[in-house]
Order: sequence, then structure tokens, then C-alpha cells
Amino acid sequence: MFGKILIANRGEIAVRVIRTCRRLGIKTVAVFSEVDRNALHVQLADEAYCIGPARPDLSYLNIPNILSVAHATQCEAIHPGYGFLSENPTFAEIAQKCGFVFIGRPPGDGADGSEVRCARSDDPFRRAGHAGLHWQRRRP
Amino acid sequence: MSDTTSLTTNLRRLIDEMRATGFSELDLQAPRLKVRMILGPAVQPAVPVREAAAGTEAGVADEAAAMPVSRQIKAERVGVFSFGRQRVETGAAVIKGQTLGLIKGISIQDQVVAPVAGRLTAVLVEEGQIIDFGRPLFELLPEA
Repeated sequence: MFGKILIANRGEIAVRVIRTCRRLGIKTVAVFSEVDRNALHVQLADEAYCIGPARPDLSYLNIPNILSVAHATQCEAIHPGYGFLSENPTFAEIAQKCGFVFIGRPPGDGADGSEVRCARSDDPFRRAGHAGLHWQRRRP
Repeated sequence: MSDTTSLTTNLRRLIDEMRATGFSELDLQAPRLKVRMILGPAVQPAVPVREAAAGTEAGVADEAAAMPVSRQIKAERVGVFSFGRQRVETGAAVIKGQTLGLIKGISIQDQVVAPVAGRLTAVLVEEGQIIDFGRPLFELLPEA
């Protein structure tokens, strides 16, 4: 089980992840843009850090700033939610190379013919009914 | 209108303008006047703060517009703050472009530099503190 994860998203998805983490005893780090300072996910998370101005490409899509927060706060994993960076294979790859578990679709998740499976049948996010699972790529 | 009444009126207008625009903190300094206003019980340090010239747009007092005003140096990167080799202290004179500290991200190290020459009126950050975007790091009173 993770001790602390970063949620790289906002809105309902971030709130759902944070609430699930609370139930599981996992600490959460939220990120937000300047206009989301008073958002619910910011209030609910154990820690929250501003990562940029209102424009999503400068905040919620800002990979260096998101990873810098994860690194500074000693997170073990990153949950991208959906939208934003969740379908960005580059983000998934960089996050993994930086040592974070990426709780989402990994780079090369079948598009190149490789097989992807859920890493753990007892995945807490799956048990909680969450769509974002911890995947890993099966090496040929 | 007396000076006191005029000042009170102008301060009220300034407070209204700060509330309307979401700013929470303001420093005004002049040879015969020093005003520091913080709105709300829990000030978020990362809230952008009105800078020197912005107050004049709302028709703030002429005397306020003419005052040299401390400006905040805010973080444009995210990471862990370090003063580097030597910690700068409140009251220190700095030159334009002087490095005041470093923000260490996961792969980037960004320098925090003085945008103009002046004197530091406040150091708002500690060694090793996690810095998020827009967080005020220093207050600098520009040279006249």
C-alpha cells in the first residue's frame, strides 16, 4: 500500500480519489491552478500546492511542476485521474523513470501489440470501484 | 475634507478594490506613511499580491500612488527552496539580477533573482521549504 500519492487532476475525479485514499489510510497531495485555490479537492487533500496559472497547459498539463511537487512531498505514486495527463504516454513514462508508480494507463499499453494487465488483483483502487487501475506491461 | 478623512476614504476604496480582485495583502511605504493590510483571517501566501502601480488604477490617493512601494518577488517554479551559499536577510541591499535563492525542482534548478536594485524588506521563505507557484518569497523596496 502506498503511504502518499499525488493526484494530478481536479474536480470530481480528484475528490473521489482523495476520499478513497482516506478510507485506505493513504495521504494525498493535491495540485491546483491559481483559479482553483478554493476548490474542494484542495480542501480535502492532506497537502495542496499551486502548480501554475489558470491556463491548463501551464498548470494541470505542466509535467515538470507536477513531478516537482511529487518529488518534494515524497509521494510514491501519481494518479492522473482522467483527461489532462491521464492519456499522455510521455507523462506516464517520465513519471515512472522518476521513480513514481503511475496509477493509470502506462506508456505502450497495447497500442504496439504488447499485452497489458492489471498489476494486482487486489488493487485497492479496483476494489473501491475506481476506473484508474495500476497497470503494468507484460514483457514478451 | 481633512487629511484623516481623505486617508480613511482612500483606504476603504483600496480595501474594496482588494476584495473585488481577490488580493489579500498590501504594503505601502513612504517617508511619513507606512500601511500594511492583510485581509481575511487565513491568508494564503501564494495569493497574488497587487504590485506597485496597480493601486492607481482604482483611483487611490495621489500620495499613495507617489510612494515607493515594496514589491513581492514570487516563485515562478515549483520545488524546494534553498538560499544557496549565503542567506540573504531582511534589510540587505541587493542589486538588479542578484541571486537571492534557488528553487530545486525534480529536474530543474531555477534561480530567484532580484528584478531591480533595492532593499529587502521581508524574507518570506525558509531554507528547505516547499514552494508552489506564485508564492511570495521576498519583499523588495526598489531604489528611488
